[in-house]
Amino acid sequence: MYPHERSLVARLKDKPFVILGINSDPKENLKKAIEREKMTWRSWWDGGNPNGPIASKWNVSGWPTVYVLDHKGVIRYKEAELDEAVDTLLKELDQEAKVDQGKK
Amino acid sequence: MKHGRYAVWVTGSFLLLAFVFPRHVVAGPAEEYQSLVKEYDAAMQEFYKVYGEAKTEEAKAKAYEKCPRNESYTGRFLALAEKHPKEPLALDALQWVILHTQHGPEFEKALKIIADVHIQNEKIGPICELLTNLPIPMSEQLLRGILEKNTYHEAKGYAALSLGQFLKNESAVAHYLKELNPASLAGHERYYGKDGVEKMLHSDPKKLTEEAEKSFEQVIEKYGDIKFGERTLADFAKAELFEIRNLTIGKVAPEIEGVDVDGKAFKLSDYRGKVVVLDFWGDW
Repeated sequence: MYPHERSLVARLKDKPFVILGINSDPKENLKKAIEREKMTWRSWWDGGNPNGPIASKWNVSGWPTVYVLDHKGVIRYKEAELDEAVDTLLKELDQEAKVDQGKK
Repeated sequence: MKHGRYAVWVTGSFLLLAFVFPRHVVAGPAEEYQSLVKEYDAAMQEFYKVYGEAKTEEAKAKAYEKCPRNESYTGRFLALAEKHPKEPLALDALQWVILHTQHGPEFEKALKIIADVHIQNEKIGPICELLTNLPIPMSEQLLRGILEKNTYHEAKGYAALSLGQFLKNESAVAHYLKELNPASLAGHERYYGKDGVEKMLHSDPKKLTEEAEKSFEQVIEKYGDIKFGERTLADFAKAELFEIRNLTIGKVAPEIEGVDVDGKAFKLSDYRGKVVVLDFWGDW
């Protein structure tokens, strides 16, 4: 997962795109993982165990669990092929921006 | 000091006993089950060790050939459960088979034995939970059977929660199967059975989700008090309902607020205007 995420972030570094993590590890382990894997994206620290408040609210029972949201915050994919999903949504955002420009 | 010596003495005498009374002499049905579990666990440990030490791809492939196959054990667990239907181990043995097979003829045999012999068993709860992963028609029948015929509050509660989870999964799998090229459906029959795939193709995923919601509502209403670890079945059912109603495709994601590893607060809505990948992860 990490190398794939790293390459996704690198490929899309100039696009309106972010990865946000919700991490269930003890704080020390999270710190080490961020350094070791050179993670440039942020994660919420969810209390140090899998029953943290965010994971519980989102009813997560398997890790990793991945959601992809569009630029309006709407859930568009669950457990999808990441590159394809993100590219589709970026294209959609791009087209919407063009339409808006046309109106002006 | 005294305690230390006592511990050594006790350990010593157990070792002695182990030599004096070899296991097979005292084996009752429960011990028979325990020794079968131990045999499997030891074989797995041995496999992990050899596999871990294998350096080349070839050595790994060779080690993998020696990985203990579930098929060599399931038959023996089933036989034990059938031989001692009144012993507590029967349900444990059936649970082992379900956990290690997940689908297929021996899984179905275990379910049939449970339906015929153990459906009213007080301790059937943990088995219900294992029937929710794959939407197999026989699993649904068994869960509904337990709800109807078992008289224990706790067992019924687990069956109701598990039925909801089964239906929620079934809805998702049905949705997925309906979009598939018919040519690739056959591969899925291996897991859900021919009848399972057929049933899902003719189902309405939306109705299945509504049925799941009803089951979760029933859990909150009737079985919400049952404890599971630090939570109650009501907590689980509420989380499931929240997921169905707020975390499905097309819904606006609920706000997330919290702190990062350095204690800095941030929230999901800070990132409106961007495409966001939300990754629930753990470094394990």
